[in-house]
Amino acid sequence: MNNPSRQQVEQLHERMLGHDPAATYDVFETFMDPLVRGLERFLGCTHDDANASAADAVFAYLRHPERFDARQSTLWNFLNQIARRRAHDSHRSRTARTKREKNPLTIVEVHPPAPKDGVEGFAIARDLLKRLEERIEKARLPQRDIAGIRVIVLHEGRVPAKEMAEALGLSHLPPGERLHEVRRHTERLRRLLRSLWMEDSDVDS
Amino acid sequence: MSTLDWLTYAAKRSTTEHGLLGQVFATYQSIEDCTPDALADELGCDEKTLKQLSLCRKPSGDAFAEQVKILCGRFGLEPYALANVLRQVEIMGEDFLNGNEGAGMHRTGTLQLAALDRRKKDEPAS
Repeated sequence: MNNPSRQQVEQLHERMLGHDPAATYDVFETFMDPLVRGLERFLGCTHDDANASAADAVFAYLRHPERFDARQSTLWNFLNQIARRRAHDSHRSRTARTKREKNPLTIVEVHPPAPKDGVEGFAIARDLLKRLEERIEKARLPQRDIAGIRVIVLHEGRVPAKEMAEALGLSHLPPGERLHEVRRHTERLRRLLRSLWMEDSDVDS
Repeated sequence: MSTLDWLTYAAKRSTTEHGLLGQVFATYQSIEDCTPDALADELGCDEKTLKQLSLCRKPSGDAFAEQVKILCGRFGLEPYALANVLRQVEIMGEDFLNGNEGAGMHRTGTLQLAALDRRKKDEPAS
């Protein structure tokens, strides 16, 4: 289907404002194909994403047709802009999600879960930890390091010194020395985690 | 891309869009516990037409009859079938949308009692 003509679009908008009951369907029929095609061709969207973003744009217009100002833009440009913005948002959100899922340190350091999501956050961390453990297992690390890594991941990157000292078996040390050792080991384990992750992502790619 | 792709997707989304027939049809299917096929049969149309109708505005207000006529003319339906579905959802649908099925039953009960009262009054005294 070709892009709609200016006259066709103006008539449609008039019908939308006049509450013609079939006008809403005609907006879909007129714009969905060209919108989806544009999103696939120029933004490289998948078919499903293009479909969803184009439908978002049309539904947004149907809810408030009066927000479209014919003096400022054509209806085609108006819908196309909304659809492209939705496609960008969806792409950004999907990229961030993929990044979070692939890099456990990103989620625990950059996106700590909200307090109200404590249980969910714990489940995510546990899942990530499980995958990480598989990688660590391959690296044949000592149990003490695995326990330390567990503390880092489960506490979203903000490591409590007492718990880390217990995990590393350093509780018997005097407070000053214990804190120093905990910091040193925490840094070492963070570096280790990163290097394991890099190794893993190299394999993935 | 086929038209059916976006039509199916948009029709599914219309079930939660206030003011579209998709929402009315979804409510009707809940009330009547029927499938889209059964609803299409009742309206005298095929599944594709039902999806197209789902993306149309719900007729309402003073222009109700005129809008039903426009839709039926456009999609080749019998006006009474569409009007029946719309009226039934108007009477029962609000309670279903609010999740008060019990209240819906109560209202139906009240309507039925009112009908019985009227019938009694209409009966000739013996």
